[in-house]
Amino acid sequence: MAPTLGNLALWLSLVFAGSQFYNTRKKNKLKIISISVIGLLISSLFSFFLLIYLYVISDFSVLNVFQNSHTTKPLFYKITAVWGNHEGSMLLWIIVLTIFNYFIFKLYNKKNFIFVSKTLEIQSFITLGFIVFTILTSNPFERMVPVQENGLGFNPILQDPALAIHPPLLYIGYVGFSAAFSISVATLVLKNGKNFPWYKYMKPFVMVAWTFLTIGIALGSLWAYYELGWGGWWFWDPVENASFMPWLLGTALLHSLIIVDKKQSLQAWVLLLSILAFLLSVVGTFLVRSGILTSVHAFALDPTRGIYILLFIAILGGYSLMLFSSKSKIYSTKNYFNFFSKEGSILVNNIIMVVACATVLLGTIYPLLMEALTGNKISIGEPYYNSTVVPIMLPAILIMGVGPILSWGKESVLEIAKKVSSVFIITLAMTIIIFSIYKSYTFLGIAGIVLAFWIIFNNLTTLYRNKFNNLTGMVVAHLGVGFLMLGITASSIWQVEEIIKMKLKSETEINKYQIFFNEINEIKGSNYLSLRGDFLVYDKGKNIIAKLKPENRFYPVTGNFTSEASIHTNLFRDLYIVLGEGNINEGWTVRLYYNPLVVWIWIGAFTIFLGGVISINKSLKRMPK
Amino acid sequence: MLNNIFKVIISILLIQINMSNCNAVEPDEILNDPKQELRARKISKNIRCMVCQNQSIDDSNSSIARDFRILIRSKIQEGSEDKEIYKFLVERYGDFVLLKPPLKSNTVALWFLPFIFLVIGILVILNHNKKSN
Repeated sequence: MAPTLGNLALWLSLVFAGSQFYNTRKKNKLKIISISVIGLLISSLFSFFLLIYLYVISDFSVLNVFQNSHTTKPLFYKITAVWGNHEGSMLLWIIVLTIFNYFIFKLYNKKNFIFVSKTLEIQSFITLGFIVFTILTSNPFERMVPVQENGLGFNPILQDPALAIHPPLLYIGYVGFSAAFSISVATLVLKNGKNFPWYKYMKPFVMVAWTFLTIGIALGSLWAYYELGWGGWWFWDPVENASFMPWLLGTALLHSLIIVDKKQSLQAWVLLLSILAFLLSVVGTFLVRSGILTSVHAFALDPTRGIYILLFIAILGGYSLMLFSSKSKIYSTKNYFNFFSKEGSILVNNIIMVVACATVLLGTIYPLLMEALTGNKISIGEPYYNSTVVPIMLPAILIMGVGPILSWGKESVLEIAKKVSSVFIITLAMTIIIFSIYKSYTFLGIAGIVLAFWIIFNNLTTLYRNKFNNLTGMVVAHLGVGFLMLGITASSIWQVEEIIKMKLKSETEINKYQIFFNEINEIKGSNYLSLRGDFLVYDKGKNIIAKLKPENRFYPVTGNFTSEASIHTNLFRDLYIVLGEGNINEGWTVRLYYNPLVVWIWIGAFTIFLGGVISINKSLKRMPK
Repeated sequence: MLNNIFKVIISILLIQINMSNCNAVEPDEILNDPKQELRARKISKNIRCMVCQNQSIDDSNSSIARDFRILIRSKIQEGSEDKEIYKFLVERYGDFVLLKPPLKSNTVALWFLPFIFLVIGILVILNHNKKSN
């Protein structure tokens, strides 16, 4: 019953999306449009909740539930398993689309009927594309016979709170750019957009998308940090790149929106960026969902999904970019920018973000293109990005440290020097202090630390001086970038690693901490069994600082082994311990990491998120009424 | 009863089986000379684990990665230079084994395009400002 209903609701949302497309195109009455919009929202939400319900009651007559769930799974992970797989995540993508669709609909007022209708028309076209895709190639309500007694479970490494809420946050990001895309295309189609404040409508959507993309990416890397077990948190994995590319363009986009709002220039640039940001989000989905990343050959085995998304990208991209090239002329204004001004620094940073994004895209698809075209296989990993993207981004951070303190228009060097002299001295002092503690110097390390402190103290003083005002969101977000830089730099240049075989009741040392291997126990968890080591951490004064309990888990349902790192965190460092293989006679392999200041990466990301939330609020207030 | 047998089997599994999930470099692989070990780690970070997705042999727990690490260390102990080790690996396993692709005719675009992107970006800005002067 429920699966049939779910399927029906999905088809119904297809009908509503179609009718929204038709009625907005024909510029029919608001009442008729509202029926489609609200019908679409309710039917897609209904089908989504039905899928959740099917997971909760473990209805294994549904193929998707059978493949991805199991009766022994905790309720929370039964629910999050809904979007932990391809079909369910497409349904999630659709409901986020329809929610944004609804918010675009809410923009209607007496003056903007034509503009909002056009935007809704584009948005419903995108929605239609994804609903058709889901129904044709990835229907989560597909049944199976015979009904199985239990499901196949799913990868225990994904059973984790951070990873469970990571996809919805990421999707709010990706899909949020769909609204910016629709607004951009609508503006290009309606040639009168020049005197219409379309950018004021676009800004909240971009802010929401970017803010949630930020926190989504941060949670993903936090998960990688504590789950993958070697203290790393970013791997330049194609899946990570897929989310990083729209983030880079989104960053450029929201900064240029400030200039458009202030000076009405750069309109064409913003229209282009918003189109590209969404296209890249869809490209990211294609990369992740088509299977093409594992191998071009794997993709060739079952190409339906990939080819559909590729076609859809071709239609969206072809149409929007051609529209842009033919209609954008009236939006390009010529404005002289002094480089030593707020808008100058934003412009330069925009270019850097776009170049960095293009480079990430190049590194991600180059091996695929090469294998498809020549059959040769190459690998592009962290070392490539470290020697291309990182040096490209560094000047951007430098400019970011200066840009916000410059004023619009022109700035005298002397004025600036006066403003920042005290921050300059504090930065210098802090850098000397921290390097006298850690005593390890590299060029990138020094640059990173100096920039981090520079940004942190600049924004702290601004925050202190201005109290709460219009710029608070920006200042808080930039402060977050400073924290992030501090965490990234410190943990990558000063990490200490220790890999040893430890017997029970033996002791080792890492960076002035004594680690004592106290005992090892077998534990029975809710749907796993585990071997857990108990380690005591002492400082120099023989005081117990922490008890660390790394685990090796076995999940009988899927036959997976996972390793759970145990981490003791404070503001200065993480102690990170992983239990490896071994036995009672020879001892166990133990991996210890001393990660200085690593927690600031996530404090930073959260601070950026907070700044984003404050700015969303501000941009909502500035919407034309 | 069944449950108990199951438990026993599992506990045997837990203790006996290679429970490696994230166990990259093992203590028995580590060389006594810290300088040589550092070299080995540096090389390992640039070598792809052939059976993994986007992992270096330094990060990977697969047995093939372990074999590679041991091979690199024995080469270092035999007195091979870093260059010779890379060359040895590439001859056997192709460019696929390198995480940082070498500059060749088929990777020219990969290495120079970022630079060209940057130049284009700078030109766009300069052009934008010249137009308006």
